[in-house]
Amino acid sequence: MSGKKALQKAIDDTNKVEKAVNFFIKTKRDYDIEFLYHDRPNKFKVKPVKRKALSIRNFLLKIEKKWGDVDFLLLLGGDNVIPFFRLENPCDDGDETVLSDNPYASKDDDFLIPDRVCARIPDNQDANFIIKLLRKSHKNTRQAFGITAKVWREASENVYRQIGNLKDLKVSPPITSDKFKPQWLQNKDFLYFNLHGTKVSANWYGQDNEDYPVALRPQNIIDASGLATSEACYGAYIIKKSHQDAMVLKFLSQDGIYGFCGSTTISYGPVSPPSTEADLLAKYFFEYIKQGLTIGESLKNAKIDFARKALRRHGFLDDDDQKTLLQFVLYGDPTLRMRHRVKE
Amino acid sequence: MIERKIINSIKRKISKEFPEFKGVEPKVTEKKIGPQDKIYRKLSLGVPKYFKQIYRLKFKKVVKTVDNITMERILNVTLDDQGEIIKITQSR
Repeated sequence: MSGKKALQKAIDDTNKVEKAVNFFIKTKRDYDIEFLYHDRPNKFKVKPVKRKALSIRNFLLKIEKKWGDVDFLLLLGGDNVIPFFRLENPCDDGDETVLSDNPYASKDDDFLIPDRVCARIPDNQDANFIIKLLRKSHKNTRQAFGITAKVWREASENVYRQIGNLKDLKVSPPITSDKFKPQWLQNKDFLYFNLHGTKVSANWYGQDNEDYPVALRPQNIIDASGLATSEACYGAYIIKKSHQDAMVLKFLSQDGIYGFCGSTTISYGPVSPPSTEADLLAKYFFEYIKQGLTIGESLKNAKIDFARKALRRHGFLDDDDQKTLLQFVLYGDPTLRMRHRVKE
Repeated sequence: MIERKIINSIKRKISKEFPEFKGVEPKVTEKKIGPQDKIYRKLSLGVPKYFKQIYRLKFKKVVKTVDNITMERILNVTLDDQGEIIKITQSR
């Protein structure tokens, strides 16, 4: 789903993207797919709506009533095309609201637990950026890369063991962007980042006590491949950003990167095991991908398992748990899947 | 409200284990959490009827990265009604 008027404004000409979408639909033979603009007449005769998150969600719910259950939803465009929901921030931190796609994934008014798969392909103000992401496929390499801030090494190991060998997990410091080798990101199934991030800088940071070195800059990303997952604060923040000043868009602009999972706002995680918050969500996400589920189903199931685990542990979802469920988004084609086994 | 001696003991623990937060005075909040029926129902779980009381100690600090970017660092300590630590989390 997209918005014709806003998409046109973002990328000038929507014809090329529409052709790519039609090709995408033809290649996905296992799925019954419809492409709809929320602001144009449609075959379901649901009244078009303006570019407001709540209106677009209501439009989708009306479509669903006429067509049947929508199991997968792919939003085409960034916040200027299909706006993120601005939800009340459960945590007392620097975020006024939480940017979230969860309400699009939910069929009722509880937005924490998704009912359907929801992913987004940002536009980066470039039709070719969208087209490239619609045409991506995955080639298994059975290789993974991971990097963590030194202070979270133990916690990150508990996540990384799902996808790679612990001896390969890089630690920052001593690793910094100056020592970072672009080939570490090449020919991989998974890329995992447990680093600091901010809204204002494209860089991600390591940490050792009060030392916060730059661990990764966009310039370090050359021919990267695989599915990238980042726990960094604002790791998936794309508003008024481009591939030049946002790591997420730089990753998605790579030919070999077919998806990105990250947080739109300030995220949280434990200092050491057991995994909680962002660490736990990433861990479950990897587990489901390894089982062969699509990346979209993997994130949806990871959120459900995350909530169950938190309820079993404490009997409730606290502020951090709720924010984690709302803030993690998936960019890319949600129907892609891989089979990955950790190489011995 | 939570006893002062518990807060002091947690401050000592945080200073020792997370020296970057040494000297930071935490913001203490108390929260009563209801049964969260909707979430339980959506996950097809039996709904507990009780309320839980938790305390949250938030340590906040502004740091500078090596390239001079200002970053807010948050460390949260969550306690149960007995003052026992349930979890410690940090902003990423």
